Amino acid sequence: MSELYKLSAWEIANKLRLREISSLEITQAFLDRINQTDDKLGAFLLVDDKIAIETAKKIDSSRLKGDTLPKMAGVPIAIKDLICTKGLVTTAASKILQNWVPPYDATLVENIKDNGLIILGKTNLDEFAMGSSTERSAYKLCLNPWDLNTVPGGSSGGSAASVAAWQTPFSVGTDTGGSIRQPASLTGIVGAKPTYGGISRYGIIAMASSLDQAGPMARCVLDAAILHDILSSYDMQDSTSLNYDFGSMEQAAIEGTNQGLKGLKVGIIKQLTGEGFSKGILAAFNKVVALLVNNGAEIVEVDCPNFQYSIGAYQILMASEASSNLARYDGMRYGKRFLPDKQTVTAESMMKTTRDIGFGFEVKRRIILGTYALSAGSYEAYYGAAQKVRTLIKGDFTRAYKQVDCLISPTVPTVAFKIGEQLDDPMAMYMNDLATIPANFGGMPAMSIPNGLAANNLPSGLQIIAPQFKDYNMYFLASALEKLINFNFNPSGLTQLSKAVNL
Amino acid sequence: MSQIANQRDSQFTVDKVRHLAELAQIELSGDEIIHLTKELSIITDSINQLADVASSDIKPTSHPVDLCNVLRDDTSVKPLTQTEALSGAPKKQDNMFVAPQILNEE
Repeated sequence: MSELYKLSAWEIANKLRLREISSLEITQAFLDRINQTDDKLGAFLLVDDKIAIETAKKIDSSRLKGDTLPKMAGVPIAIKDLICTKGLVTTAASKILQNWVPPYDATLVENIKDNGLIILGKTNLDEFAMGSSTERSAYKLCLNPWDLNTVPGGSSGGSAASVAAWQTPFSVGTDTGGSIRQPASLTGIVGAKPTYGGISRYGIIAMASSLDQAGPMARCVLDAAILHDILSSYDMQDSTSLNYDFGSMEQAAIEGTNQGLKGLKVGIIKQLTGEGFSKGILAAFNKVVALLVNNGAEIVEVDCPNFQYSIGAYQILMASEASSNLARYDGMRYGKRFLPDKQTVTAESMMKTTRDIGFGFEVKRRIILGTYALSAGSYEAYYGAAQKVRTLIKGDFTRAYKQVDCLISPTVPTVAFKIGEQLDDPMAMYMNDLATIPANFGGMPAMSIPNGLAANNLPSGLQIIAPQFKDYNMYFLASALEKLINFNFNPSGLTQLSKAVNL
Repeated sequence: MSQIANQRDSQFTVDKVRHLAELAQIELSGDEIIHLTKELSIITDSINQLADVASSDIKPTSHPVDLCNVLRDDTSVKPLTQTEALSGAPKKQDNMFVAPQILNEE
């Protein structure tokens, strides 16, 4: 079997259990694949062969001894470099955390280790998760495997590109306004954000705490569901963690495939299917609507009039929370310290210089905007108003879910855009999150699955938003639709990538 | 309402951005300040409509899930060791963080 790296995570787990392959073999296959492709692709900020191989060997010997192992033990995974890994450099793609080694694991990383998964490395992102293209990484560019002239989306661009380029079977991303779903859409993969509080935020470098959630990214719904179950746990270290039995997402995915769509009421959001969305994206979306109707689901159009304010409110809430969260990078206790070119260096001048050199421009822009929105005199007009808009958007959801079980929309208004195209236009970049932000505001579980190719043979994504706590319903619908859509996963950029690498 | 309206009319100026940078403790270059002044004006123009819909009878939402106070049992847990807590320090001495002088600010 020459192309082990094309296997899905659940297939790998089956082969490991049947001892058709060893964890060492499969881990080496992915490490080789990364080694061959990543100079060009740029999905990883760090690959740790040594730890990956050591862990794989341990799992293998434990299996040989006949120990009872967790179901996914020995399967490789990649983790967004926004998430703390003990002993493994974690940078948030920022210079201010260059070479920083966390002294602890994020709770979700503990869960990954407890389940015997093999951590291949840390994936590229926009600095502190601020961006929708991964072009804001302080270290390197990450390309889209479907077309190497386009971006993979962001901020979890590296987590998406690595999965799409078969460098890992699945990965972990984080989503504040769409940072899992948008790159999943742009790279033709599955990406899910759970109900807020479903996966612990402990050990995830914070951007906007009331919106941030981690979640799985994979090439099929079942893999995402399996990883979701591993990442999710109640955690005393995160006061917003939910002590709630969500059920098994794996079970939801299996039942969705078996039971189909009959009797489901699915809502189409009026405000997210017209203006601002490209023709190709809408055509792909309408095909899904036809599939739903033809397979016994009931379609209802729902009105969410306040969604139009979500981008504006997001700018304020995200920037305000980010400016507070990033105040901790002061060059005192961890991270980089940069000294000013002055005779007398004081704590304050060091802090200012550290933050000037350590942060990229997008990060500074958001900190300054947040500082403004929270300052006396502006607070009511901006921060207070944005929080009220959040209430209105939640109200739209509540009304919609009185009529339907789940909502759908295109995930992103367009397909992947060219590298550099939106860098100088912050508003254009922010529009990427038009359809994804509302779910973060409402704390709803939401995911993107590929639903065909739109313009330039680039993938389009379908977003499913379920009510709070109904992650199960989301995976059920995603899995049923995945089967019907039958998306042909075939990134054309990979041929280019292999050629480039062979030269 | 008139006070809010006044706020919304206020444009970003170079001095204002410089003041915000001071509050945020970031040393910005002249170019960065000019660039930010322009961009922040565009961004805030796009969000000024928020005040129009955010009437006083709407309750603000600070958190997506309605949670009450979360308490845990008052039992001791193992914290980071001193060595671990200091492991990322840019400068340390005698098991303590070393900061630049805090007095005699310029």
